[in-house]
Amino acid sequence: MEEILQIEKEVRRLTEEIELMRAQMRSFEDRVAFFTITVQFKSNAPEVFPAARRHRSPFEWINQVGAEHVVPY
Amino acid sequence: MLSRTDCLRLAVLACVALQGCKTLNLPVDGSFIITKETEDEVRAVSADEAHFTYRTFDEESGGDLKFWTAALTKNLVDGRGYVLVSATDVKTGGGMQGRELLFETTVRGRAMKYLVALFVEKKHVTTFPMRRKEVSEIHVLEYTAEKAVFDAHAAQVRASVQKL
Repeated sequence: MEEILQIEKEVRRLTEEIELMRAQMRSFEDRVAFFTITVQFKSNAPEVFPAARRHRSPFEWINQVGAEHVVPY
Repeated sequence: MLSRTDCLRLAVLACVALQGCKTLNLPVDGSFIITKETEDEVRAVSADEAHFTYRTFDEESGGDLKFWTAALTKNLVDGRGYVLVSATDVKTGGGMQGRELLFETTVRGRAMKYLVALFVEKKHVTTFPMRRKEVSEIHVLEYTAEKAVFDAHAAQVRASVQKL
């Protein structure tokens, strides 16, 4: 009789444990469903320097050459 | 009736005037058309929008090819964010030694390649009051196009440099 009681107690404990794990799984599923993934893309192309950030050369002719001065638009 | 001295003066003036009107010569084939041509600047463009220019600048502070190559490279790379791809020695058909620099950059959001060939020539100019002074005449050939177009004309551009 004592053995039966012991088994029933163990079954209850395992059932509770299983229920707890199921609840955790449902919680994880919800988290995955509403998860936010942030992806940052970075170009390998050379950085475009705004005119204000450009370092002017002390030699005026150098300031007049460059691709941006060759392409007229 | 003009005297012999007056004729000589006129001839000298005519020569000076003609010299002043001399335009730069940029040898290009049929893939480019010349859009601007003055005594110190020639601009050409291809149908697929590759741009080729030849300009000269007088630099009174002197400086040789090595100096100007370093100054230009520093400004383009450190000051404007260009990426230096290669640097090679070049020579014109007339025997002038130069340096060819190839860069990558972006112009108004477009990824471009930019080739510049520099040549430095020493010349003497006469300044007022009648002083002879040595200046550097810097010859600058520039070729730029979007990356996809650049290679289509690069050989022609390099051939033009050798014809100068």
